[in-house]
Amino acid sequence: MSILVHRLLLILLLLQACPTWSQEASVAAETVGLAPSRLANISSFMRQHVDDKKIGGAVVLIARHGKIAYLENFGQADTGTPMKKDTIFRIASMTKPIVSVAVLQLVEDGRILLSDPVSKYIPEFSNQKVIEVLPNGGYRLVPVKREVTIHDLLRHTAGLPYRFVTDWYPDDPLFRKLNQYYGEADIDLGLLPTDETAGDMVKRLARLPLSSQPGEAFAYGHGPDVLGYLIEIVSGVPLDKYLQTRIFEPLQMKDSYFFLPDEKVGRLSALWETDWNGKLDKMPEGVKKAGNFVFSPEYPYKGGKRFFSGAAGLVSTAQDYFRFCQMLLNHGQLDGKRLLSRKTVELMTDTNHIDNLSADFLHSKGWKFGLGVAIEADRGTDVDAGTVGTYEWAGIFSTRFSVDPKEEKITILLTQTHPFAHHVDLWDKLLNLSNAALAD
Amino acid sequence: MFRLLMLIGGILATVLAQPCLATAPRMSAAKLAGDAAPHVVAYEYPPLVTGDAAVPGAAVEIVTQSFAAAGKAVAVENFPSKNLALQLLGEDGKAIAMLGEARGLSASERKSLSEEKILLITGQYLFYVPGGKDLKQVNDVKALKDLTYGAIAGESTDSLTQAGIKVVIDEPKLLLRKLQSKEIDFIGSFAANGDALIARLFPEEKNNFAAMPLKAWESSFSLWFDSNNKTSKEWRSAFSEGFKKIRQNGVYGEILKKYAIENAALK
Repeated sequence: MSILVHRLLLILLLLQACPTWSQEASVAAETVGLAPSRLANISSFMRQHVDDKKIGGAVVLIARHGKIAYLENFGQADTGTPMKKDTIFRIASMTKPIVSVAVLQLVEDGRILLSDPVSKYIPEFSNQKVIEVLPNGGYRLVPVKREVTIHDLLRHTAGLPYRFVTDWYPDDPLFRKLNQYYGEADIDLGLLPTDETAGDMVKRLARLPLSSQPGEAFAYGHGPDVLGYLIEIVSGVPLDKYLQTRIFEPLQMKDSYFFLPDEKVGRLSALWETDWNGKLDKMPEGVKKAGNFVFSPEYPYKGGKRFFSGAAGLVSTAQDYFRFCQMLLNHGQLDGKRLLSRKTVELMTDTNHIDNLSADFLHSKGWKFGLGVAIEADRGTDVDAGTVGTYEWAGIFSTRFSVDPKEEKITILLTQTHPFAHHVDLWDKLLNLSNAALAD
Repeated sequence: MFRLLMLIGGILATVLAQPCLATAPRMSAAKLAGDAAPHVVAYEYPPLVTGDAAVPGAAVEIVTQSFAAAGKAVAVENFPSKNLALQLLGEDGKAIAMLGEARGLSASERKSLSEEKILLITGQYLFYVPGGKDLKQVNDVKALKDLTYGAIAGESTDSLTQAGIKVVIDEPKLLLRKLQSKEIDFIGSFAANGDALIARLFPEEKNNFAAMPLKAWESSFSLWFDSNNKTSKEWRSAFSEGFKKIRQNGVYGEILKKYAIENAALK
């Protein structure tokens, strides 16, 4: 009998020692300086968005001082399937900060330098040209003044904008021409089932002209796709394996993938199309084209599953992404596992890398860009995240995170809503509610 | 003294061999030098232009062999975009000609170009077999009434619309995807080119795409010279001379055989 009791105790001890996400879950809000009544406002706010059929469903997570104080699910993940706390989401461009960490690990390993020209690893990036618009509205191609560097890719100054960005400037001859080239060259976000690899696309991309001279303009786009392929070349392993072994396993991000294993496909949320005015439809499988943004909802589980998009390919959960954010907030480590040094995290999340380049794409003039994340530099502007130094990024299917280093607070919103533009109102208000819950 | 001189020489050699050590970003000047030799620009059109150095494509081999037969060494530079190749032909003084399909050029684009045909290609109508309409026996376009055709921008579809066929315009890759998801019923494609695109996007489904026994179009695959380029006459003459030679000595036929496109031979 005593042996049995001993064994049971041992199992209990082992279970307790085994770190899982639930370790951080559900601390009383007031113990981490958040007001429960204020957090309750978030629940009613989110429920209203579901009731108004602006979104199909959502998961919201708020953590402080390393503990999750608020984790709630709302609405439905799919028709007839309620949203759950562990529902899996297409996090799209929230892949970029993760790939940025992977690149910075290679810097810390002594394998690469941020100043390295990309052509050192991907020869197709040699002899590049830049589109130059002429006063008469025509254009010509001119040689690059210097080559694109790894640093350019991380801070979006490589002249590789997304094709859908061209939709915002329909009358600009530069973007019209770039759009034509990208279309012919089959350059996209990789959000369609395909048998191609990201490397195949990156090599085509490298043969097209850049939208601006390297380092001279902020142009949000394909840099992290190139970085994903570069990681494969430098590390010698496919990007999915690299992220698995160097980031997901150490951080115990057990539901983060480029392509879902069969047994987890059922946990993936549907994508919803909304007019933000009560018309909400589940998006069926198949090609969806919104201007030059092309995708199909089934990309995380169909196709050749070889296109590891370093810019937009990952799916994940609120708990997993919380662990990634917490690692950054902890200056590069979590649960005794160090992924980056303190100095490198400072370089990524606490350093403006775009000088005074115009970055209208970011919220407003008060925001700057680090390495893979936007950083609030001035609160005196239209969009305030609450603290100078707060960093964040979003995904095109309406997901977003924010890390406030001073308040040690993380806010994560995951929905699966198209088009992206509608969620901005939701996010800005949610972040205000999250900040309003601070009670110390 | 000798050893000292050797040591200083060694240090100098090391420093001079790495002139970029003190600069950032660190790159070699050669990387910025640009293209040095005369070349033909081309755009991907497998299996005529592939971008694969080992198997560069039938048209690429025909062009390089023709110039070689005329005593000229010319490389073919491949780009993933037709319009980029066309732009480079117009403004890059070192691009002597462009390799491409006649159907892909507008009348205004052709105005300043002169053509040397090297292949004749025939288009076919492709459809997706599983769960779709059986179009294997269709040999008259009228039988396709009320179906939807996927066309590329600039493609002439008058005969199809006159036959009551709906036309959707998109890029080749998306047309193929729409075909596979049954949003459209058929597309036009040069047989071998369509096969290559299917192999790239849907390798496991290559047997699910079939062709109708109905000719979609005929077009030439040609070398296009810029009439505004002062040297183009000389290059065109050299190509013409060499092309004649390789057609006579059997090299042309061997290249077509290698790529299994004997039916694309110039008559």
